[in-house]
Amino acid sequence: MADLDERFRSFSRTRSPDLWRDIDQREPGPVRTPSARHRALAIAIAFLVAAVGVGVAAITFGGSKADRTVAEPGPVVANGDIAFVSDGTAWMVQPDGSAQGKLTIDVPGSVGGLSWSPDGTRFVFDVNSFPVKGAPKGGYYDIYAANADGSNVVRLTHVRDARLPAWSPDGTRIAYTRQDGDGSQIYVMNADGSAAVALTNGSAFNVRPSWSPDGSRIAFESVAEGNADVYVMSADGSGLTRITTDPAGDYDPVWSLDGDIAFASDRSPSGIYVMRPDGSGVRLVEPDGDIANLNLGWSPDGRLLAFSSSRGSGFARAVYVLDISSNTVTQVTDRGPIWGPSWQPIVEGEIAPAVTATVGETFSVGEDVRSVVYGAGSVWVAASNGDGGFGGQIVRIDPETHEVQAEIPVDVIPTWEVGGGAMVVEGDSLWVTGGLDAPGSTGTSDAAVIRIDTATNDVAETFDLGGEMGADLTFLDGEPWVLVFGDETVDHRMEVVGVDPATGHITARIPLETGWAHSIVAADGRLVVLESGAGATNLDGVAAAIDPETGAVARTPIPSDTFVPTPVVWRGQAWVGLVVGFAHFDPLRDAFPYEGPTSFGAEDRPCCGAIAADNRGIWFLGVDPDGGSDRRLTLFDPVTGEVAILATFDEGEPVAMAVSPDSLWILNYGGTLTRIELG
Amino acid sequence: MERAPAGVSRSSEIERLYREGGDRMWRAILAFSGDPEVASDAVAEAFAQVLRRGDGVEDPERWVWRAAFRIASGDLRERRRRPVAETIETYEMEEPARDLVVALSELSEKQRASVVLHDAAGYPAKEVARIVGSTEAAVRVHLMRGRRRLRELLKDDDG
Repeated sequence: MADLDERFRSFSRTRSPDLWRDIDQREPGPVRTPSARHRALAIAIAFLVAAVGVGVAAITFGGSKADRTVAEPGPVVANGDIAFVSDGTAWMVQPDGSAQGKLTIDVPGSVGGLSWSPDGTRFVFDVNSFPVKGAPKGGYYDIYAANADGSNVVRLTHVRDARLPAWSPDGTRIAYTRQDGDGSQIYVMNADGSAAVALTNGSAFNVRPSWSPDGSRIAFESVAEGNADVYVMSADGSGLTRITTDPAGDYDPVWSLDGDIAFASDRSPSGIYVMRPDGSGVRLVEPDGDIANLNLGWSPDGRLLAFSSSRGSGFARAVYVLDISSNTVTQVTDRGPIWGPSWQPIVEGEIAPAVTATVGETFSVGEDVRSVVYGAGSVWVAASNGDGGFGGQIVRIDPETHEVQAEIPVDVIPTWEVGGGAMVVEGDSLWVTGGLDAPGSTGTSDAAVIRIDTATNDVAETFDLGGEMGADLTFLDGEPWVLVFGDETVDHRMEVVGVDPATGHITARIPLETGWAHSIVAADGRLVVLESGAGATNLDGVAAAIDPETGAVARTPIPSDTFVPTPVVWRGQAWVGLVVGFAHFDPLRDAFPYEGPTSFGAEDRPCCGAIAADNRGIWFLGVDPDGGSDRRLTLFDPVTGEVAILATFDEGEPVAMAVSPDSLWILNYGGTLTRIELG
Repeated sequence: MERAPAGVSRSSEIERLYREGGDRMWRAILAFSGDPEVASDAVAEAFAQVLRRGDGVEDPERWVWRAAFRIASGDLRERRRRPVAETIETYEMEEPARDLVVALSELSEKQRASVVLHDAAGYPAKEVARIVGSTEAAVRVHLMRGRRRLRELLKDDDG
């Protein structure tokens, strides 16, 4: 009897027709591909999602008022403390007026013009060194940076006339003002002080640069012929445009997160005004008579505007906060700032200053392994029972000793899907999805989900969900949602199935359009599945955002021919790996909202679905650029857009990855687990 | 010397791609679909598409393979499928190969695509993963399970 290889050899002798004439003359039919617009939108990358953008998925740049979405406070960036300058040094105060205190900064002079880094961990400021012999009347100014607590001071300029720095939204550049003959100019340098270039020239007095939220433009105040006005230019200095033309003075423009520019004006009535970046829609938001001392600073969430003023009393300046939506003003300090206020962004979660990865032990955990997850203090590995039938086991492993704590036999064969989802630890339970031997049939299965009590290691529940096989599951509002393969004898289409965790009652059954999806995640109150194109390939993938309440599915083309089929949740947001970088998918607006530079070089592509995320960023294994089998452990930081390769190793073929507080756990086809220790 | 227009050189490149690998692709799609008509249509359409796209396709070989499988997969769904044994009944092929194609039709689409691309078209698992948009590990699982199932169906030796 022929063996399989012989049959394939026999098959290879089958003659094929010559189709070239048909190909050459054929008028090809329509094949849906991502539109040019979607390709252009392509790659949404976190470069622009620097702190002011993180969590504010709503911004669309350069749109008209009608298509502009007002930013809402996102889950990621919060309003921190307000910094201001008084008595020549920096002070911090909480927005409710509490905890006002002075920062100790070791610099040779008085502090001014303060601006936060987008992640809120550092700030830049200018220092006016005390007048020395030969110095100009106002003294020497240079720009410094310090940690949020005033420590780790670094001098960035050595030019003696650099002032009023503004940190760019992507954290890479600093704009500032320099005296230049009779005028002063806007300069930009790298965040380490290198590569300074002038963006303006001439005799005008150009000061107080403020970046647009996408970092593409800079607004500033320009005083020419005695009148101050607001100008906007591209971040490379091109396209200089005068935005205000009122004969009254317009000062201190500050660009808000939703794209408006606030400024102080002594037009009548004097006070704080807001306008569009093209100068339209000017409106008074707060009358104030103390224009000479008015300084403005938006809150990181874009909803509040802090300002310093004497409120018309002529002395006793203080910091106030204006809530534009309710038109209420609150005084938050009892002392008068000279500069500021500048509002510190807080990126939720710890920002690890530097991450190191050390490749540790690789040890055997079983055969035919399917997925790995960390939770309840243990690493959990799902495996089939290796006999080709249904059933499998869950192996519980001590993360410190690597000893097996329990081997739990299960009736459900855990799924093998890409990225090795299939298990979630929720509370004191481990939930596993996969296939259960279907009653009354041979060789087919039903999708099922089981619950294992992590206190006892017992299988507490087994719920049959119909369909064919559970591919992955996630939790939303305490309820498991399972991605289920359709029964191929009936319909290839997959479903998303909601399950009552107590009873196993199916609460929803939402059909998808694809027969091939691998992973489901929950983000922003929606379920997100990346649907492959029709058929067996993932050409023309779409991101499906499912409303669990209504079952409505909104589909957005994925702006890349090739994508990693497992989305990952980073700080509550869904991110998708494309060829050129990770893109944030916003399921509430059905959009990949940011347009920007790519983050990946040609050699930074993920090798496979082994992806995980924690507060540090998105972890993945990169391809071997030499075509070999090396795996390159890579960390993508959505805040900065940086990609860092932290370790290279050659240990098996990865199936899935889990992350614990101090380690990454890479499950390899062949049944080994590789631990990578994070420092 | 005048340079040939870009479209012309790309067209020759596509023709070369077809001449060198078109028969392999046609057989792969036949094995995948079990239908010579579907194979011819999918291969011709995929090449016609890549011709029209000209320089817009970075890696024509991978693109055309993916497109051909996608088109075949769509064709199969649109047609009311006859049993594969019937659709290939009249096509000239060796008996062990005919049984193989019939058995392949019993596999899931993913297993079938993986097995066909690996064992009929000769692509390594890594490239199969790239063509079908999956991962190498998943493809290996499909391969293992698909072959096991084929052996059961064909009652073949394990060799």
